[in-house]
Order: sequence, then C-alpha cells, then structure tokens
Amino acid sequence: MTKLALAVLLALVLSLPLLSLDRAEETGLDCQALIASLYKVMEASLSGNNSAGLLDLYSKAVLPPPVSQLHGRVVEDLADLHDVLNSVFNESSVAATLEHVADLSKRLRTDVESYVKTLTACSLDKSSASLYSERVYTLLDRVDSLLNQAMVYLATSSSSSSIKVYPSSQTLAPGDTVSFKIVVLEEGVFNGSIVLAVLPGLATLVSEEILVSTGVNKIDVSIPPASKLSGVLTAGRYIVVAHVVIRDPINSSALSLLTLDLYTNNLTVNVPRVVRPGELVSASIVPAEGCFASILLDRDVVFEGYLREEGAVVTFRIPDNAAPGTHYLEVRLEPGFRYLGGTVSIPLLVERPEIPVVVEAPTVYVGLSNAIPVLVRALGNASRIVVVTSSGEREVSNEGITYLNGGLGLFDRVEAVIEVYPAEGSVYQPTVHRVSVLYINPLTLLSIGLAVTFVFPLLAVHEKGVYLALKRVGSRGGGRSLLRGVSRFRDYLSTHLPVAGLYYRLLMELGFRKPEAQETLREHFASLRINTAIKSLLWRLLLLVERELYSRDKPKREEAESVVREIRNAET
Amino acid sequence: MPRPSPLLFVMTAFLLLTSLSVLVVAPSNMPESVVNTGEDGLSMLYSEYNAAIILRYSELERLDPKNTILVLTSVSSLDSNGLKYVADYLAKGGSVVMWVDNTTEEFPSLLNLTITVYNGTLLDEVSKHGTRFEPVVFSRPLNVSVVLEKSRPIESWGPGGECILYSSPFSYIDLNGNGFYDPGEPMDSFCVGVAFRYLNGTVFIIPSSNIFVNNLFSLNKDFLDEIRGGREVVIDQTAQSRDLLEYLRLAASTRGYNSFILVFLLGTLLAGGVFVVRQRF
Repeated sequence: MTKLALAVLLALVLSLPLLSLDRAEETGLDCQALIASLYKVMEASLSGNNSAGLLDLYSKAVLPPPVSQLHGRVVEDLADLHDVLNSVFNESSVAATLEHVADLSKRLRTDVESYVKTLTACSLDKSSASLYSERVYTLLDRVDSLLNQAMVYLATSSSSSSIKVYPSSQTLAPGDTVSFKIVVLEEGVFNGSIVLAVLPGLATLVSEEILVSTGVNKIDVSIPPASKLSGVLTAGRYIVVAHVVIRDPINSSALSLLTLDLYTNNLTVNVPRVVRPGELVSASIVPAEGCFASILLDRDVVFEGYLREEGAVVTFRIPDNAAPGTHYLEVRLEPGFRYLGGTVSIPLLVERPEIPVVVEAPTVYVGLSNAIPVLVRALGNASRIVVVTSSGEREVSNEGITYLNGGLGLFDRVEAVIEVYPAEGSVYQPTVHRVSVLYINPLTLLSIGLAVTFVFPLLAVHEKGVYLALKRVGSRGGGRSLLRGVSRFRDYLSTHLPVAGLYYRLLMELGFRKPEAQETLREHFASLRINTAIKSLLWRLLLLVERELYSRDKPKREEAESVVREIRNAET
Repeated sequence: MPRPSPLLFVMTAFLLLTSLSVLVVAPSNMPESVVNTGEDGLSMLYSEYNAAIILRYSELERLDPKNTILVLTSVSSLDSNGLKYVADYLAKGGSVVMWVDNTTEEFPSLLNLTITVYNGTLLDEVSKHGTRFEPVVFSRPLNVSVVLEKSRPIESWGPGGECILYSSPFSYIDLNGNGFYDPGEPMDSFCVGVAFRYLNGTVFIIPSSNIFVNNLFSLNKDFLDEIRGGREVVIDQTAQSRDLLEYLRLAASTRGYNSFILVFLLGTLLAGGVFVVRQRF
C-alpha cells in the first residue's frame, strides 16, 4: 500500500515540471504583438482616426510590472500628445505652451524608445521585433515633425504687436551672419534680448543682450559654425525661433522663424578604384570647404590637412608595400565652418601587376645551328629569369639573348616556358611567358632531297636485286614477294595436284584453318570440328588427296569434284 | 449446498448503493458537463439559470421553442437524426447558441449556413483576460464584452448572418500557430461571433473553444442574458450522457426530463433487496 502511494506521488512529482512548462509557453508575454499594437495606436494618434477610443482600449492592457510601467508612461504621453494636437490644430482653447510641447516631444521619444527597447529584448524573434521597432521609430519622427509644426503654430500665434522683427523667415547655414531689423513702435530706449533657439527642445544657439530704441534697430547675429553646433545638434534641417524680448519699461516680445540647414557632408570622393602600390593617387572631395580632412588607407594615415575650397583635390601615395587585394580608403572630414563633416569609406583594389617582360622569339626558325635565339628583356626590376624546356631548367642572366636547342628532325617544335621573377620588395609579381618555335633543320632537308634525287631511281632500275636483298632479309620485309609466293603455290597445286587444290580451296571455303607444316593431313582433319554429314564426305575427299599425293593410281579430278559438290550441297 | 448468509446480501446491497452514491455525488471531470464543477464544466451555467438539460435530441420536441434557448455543446457528435430535431426546433422559433473549435464549419453547413473561419487562433495581448489566448471581444449591438478562449476569427459568412462579436483592433491571427505575433500576420478587429436567422429561429455561432464554462461564466453572463432575453436555458448534454456514469450522475442530480431512469434503477434495486429478504426470511 505504501509502495503504491509512493509510486503515485512520484508520478505526480514527475509530471509537475512538464505541466509548468506547458503553462509557461502560454503565459509568456507576446512582446512582438505589443510593439505592433503600439505602432497601431501611434498611427491612429497621428491620423486622428478613432484615436481616443483606441488609446482608451490600449491603456487598459493588463501587463506584468516592468512592462506595465513603461506602457503606462507611453499611454500618458500619447494622451498628452492627443490633447496637444487637439488643442493646437482643432483650435480648442490654446492651453499648450511652447515649453510643454517641447518637453512632450522629448518625453515621448525617450519613453517610446525605452518601451520599444524593452519589448524588443523580450521578443522571441528579435529580427521581426526589430522590424516593427524600426516602423515605430519612423512614426516617432513623424510625431516630432508634427510637434514642430505645433510649436511653430504656437510661436507665431503668441507674437506681440508693439515690436516687429524682420526677416520673418530666412534660410540659414552655419557660420552665417543674420541681420535682424527690430522695429520698436513704443517711445524710448529699451533693454532686451534676442535668443535663437532650435525646435524641438528649444536648444539655445545664440543669446545676446540688446539695446534698442524707437524705430528700426539693426542687430547682427552670427550663427555658430558647424564645428560648434555639432555638440548640440545632429545633422538635419531645423526650425530656429528668433525670440526678441524687450523688458523695461514695456514687456513685449516678437518672434521670427528661420530655417537652419545643418548637414553632414554628403561626401563625394572621386578616386580611381584600381591602384598599384607606390602609385600617386588624386582624390577630389566634395563638399569640403573649411573642413579638416584625414585620409586613411586601412588605418594608416596617408593624408591630413585643411581643405580650403569645394572640390579640393588631395594627392596621396599608395604605400609600396600595400598587399594586393581590397583595401578601404576612409575619408574623414571633421566638422568645419559650414558642414558637420562626415566619413566615407571607399573600397580600393590594389593590384600587383605582372613584371613587364619583352620576349621576342621567331615563330619559324631555319638555321644550320640548332640553337634558336630568343630575346628576353625584363622592363621591371627582375631578379632572375628561368627558362624551362623539355630538356630541363636553365637559369639565364638577368636579360639578353638566350638559346633554345632545336632537335634533329626535319620539323621540330621547340617549346619553352620563360619565368621572370621580380626583385625582392618590388611592386611586381612574377610573370610567365610561353615560347613555341618551329625549327626546320636544313641538314635533314638536304638529306631528304638527296635521297629523292638519287636513291629512288636506283631502286627502280635494280628491282630484282632489291627483291633478292629483301628476300634475304626475310619475307616479312617484302610484302610484294609474299603475295607472289602464295599465288605461285596455288598455281602449282592447281596444275600438278588438282585434287589437293580442290581440298585446300574447300577448306578455305568452309572457313577451316589450313594444315600447318608440322602436322599430317589426318592430324589436321582430326582437329577439325565438323558435323558428321560433312565429316564423312570430307574424309572421302581426304583419301582422294592422299591417293593423289602418295599413290601411283591417281584419282580422277571429276571424282573429287563430285565429292566436293556433295559437300557443298550438304553444307547448304 | 449451504444457503448463503443473509448478511452477505445486505452487505453487497449496501456496498453497491454506497459506491453508486459516491460516484454520483463525486464531481464529474467531463468537459461541458453540468455536473462538472471544474474549470471546463457547465455547473455554474446550470445552477445560475436553474436550466433544463436534454439527454437526447428527441427531447427537443417537448420544449417550447419560443421560450427556450438551447446551449448546444455536442456539435461534433451531432448526427443527421439529431440535426433533424435541431432544425425542427429552430423552425418553430427556437434559438441555438453554440461555440465550436475544430468543427467550426461543419455544423453551419449541415444547416446550409455558410461560414468561413481563418486558419489560425485569435490572440490579443492588449484586450485580454489573463493571457492573450483569452481575448476580450465586444458586442456592439448588445454593448457587452465577452471573453473567449482560443477563438478563431470568422472571415466571411453567408446571407442571413450578422456579426455580433468583434475583437479589439489589437487582436491578431496567429497564422503559423507559434503563439506569437509575426510579421505578416493580420492585426485588426475581426468578427468572432455571428448570429444567423434560420427559418423562424436564431443560431448564434461563436468559434471558440469555450465561452460559458465555469471559469468564463461570470465574465460572459451579461452576454448570455442579452441573447437569452428572459427565455429559459436548456443545456444539451447528449454527448456527455453517452458515458454511463455521467448519465447516472446527470439523472441523479439534475432536474431533467429523464430522472425517471434513476427512479427505475433505484426501484429495481429496492425490489431485488425486498425479494432477497423475503426469500431468506
């Protein structure tokens, strides 16, 4: 009983982790869905389409603690955004202030970013989560621009009428000097200030105390150069609010909206993409005015200096020891007067050229000497030249004429490989040339000519002598004599031994081998594989042949022919 | 052969009765059974409305269709004979509410109603009760919210149908079944419940694994009240009653039309006991 209870308990304990795992799968938060939901609610906020209802539903989401706090903050910001956009664009009571909108813009970005980062971190599929977070960030940029518009609206709607500022709008570049005309309508001399601040966030660019009097006052304000702005702003196009405030004795303010272009140099560098070690390379850099440039080739500085004008041409040298392959040329521009600078990386292919070599070899060479001259001249700094032929390897002096050996044949194709190695540390790489020369040996040519002229007529005249000589050498040597011998033997048989002739012919007709010299006709017959019908007939013919060969009583030819006919009939 | 002791008979009868009572009284674990007090039982639905149950489809004939609403739980085991009774019930003006998971499209097609569901579960991480597998959906015409479990959104429905339940705009369809939102999966407000006019009656089809079971009942009671409209609730227990033990439990503990079976069984047992006692003494 106790055992049974223990077994049940054990089974329960074992099944517990499995159960809990199954639950975990279901209870885990779907962070990807939450990012997508955030995107949806933000999009609705921007389009103003049913945004209140959606935000209300969104705010009711029940989430676990770390996420829920971030969620709550984003919901708060979005509700705030909703109010601001409503109050500004739907012209309900203008409750939003410039500072409030600027603060919201900052807050929203921080909150949304930290929420999205947390959600991306807890997502199961990070890549698809980051896909959605990118989309959320894009929306965030749209929110920013919308808030910028809101701020512009607020700025322009709160101007006072006792002073006016000109220009009311102008496009600026870093380092520019702007001439403001401040028209004061009140009588007297006033203290005041002019503040140039950038939207959103209202980061102050310039703040100056001014003294103005009735009428038109000209105030020059210098925009800081890009090198100074780079600490405050990133690249982009900004709306700058020029805020003029006059304090005592009247409190009055006026605004002017300016556009500031602060751009990263959209660097264009013209440089040859394929270079050689030791080569002097020119690169033109646009835009470059007033920037400090440094050019690095794989982290080694090849150029440093100020670029005074646009499209500056910079010359630098590719190191002699640059290895062949792809190197990266990095052009860095420090923030200058007008531009924020930038960096561009260009792949450069460093080529190691083959050592230039001139090889001059004749295609056809006719000469009594079988040494074929070949001119090899290395134009680069060659360390050694190796000529490899079929007969072996041969090293020659640095340059000059080398000789290839022709053979004894009439036409001889001489092939050689000429390898030229560059000197140590040279920019060149070894090169290989192939040489092929057709060598015609005049001595062999002459011998053939002599043979044609003299030997063949002699042979024709003394045919019999040649025949005899050939016979002595062996019948195999003379094909003609062998054929003649066979026909003679056949003639002999047909005239002197007609029956034997018939027998031999029949054997050939039937496809049997002929008797050899060392075997008797009977031995030969015994070795044949014939069917019995033909065998007896052939045996009869064999007896007739034996009679013809050895007996005085020669058989008649007709008798043998009748047997042959019978055999042929039997065969068919 | 010695006669068996009367004590043995008494003991046997006592044991039989005790075990039967224990089995009948012990709660059931059969899903969607009115005697199941667990998460997936319908005991709360049953007790809240003091509902009637049917153990055979033929019992539908005895119901007053105009004053009842049938909660159909046995869609997957509905045969042509049962279907005939359901169709008759609807024709006479009855209302049927059903939730289905795996056989979502089968039952409506039996009644010649067309409904197409998406091939994926509806999840919602924002508008949910507990986990995203229990989305909170809304009924616009009835102005109530409903919690579903592993629901499947309806892609389209045929003529005579009207969508009565919509999911939140943050709900999405888990098309690949991994339980998470993936790029390409639609996130929108989907229809999750349709009401069809069928002959003189109404069929409510909600493709969800659960809706009125005990753990969701209190959340969805308002919805049922709205569609019930004061009518009596009749719970279909035909599939559950196929299990003999469950049948006995249902017969013993419900106000069904079939409690005479229990009376008959007990009567038989009592008669047997009396017979044995009279034989012996």
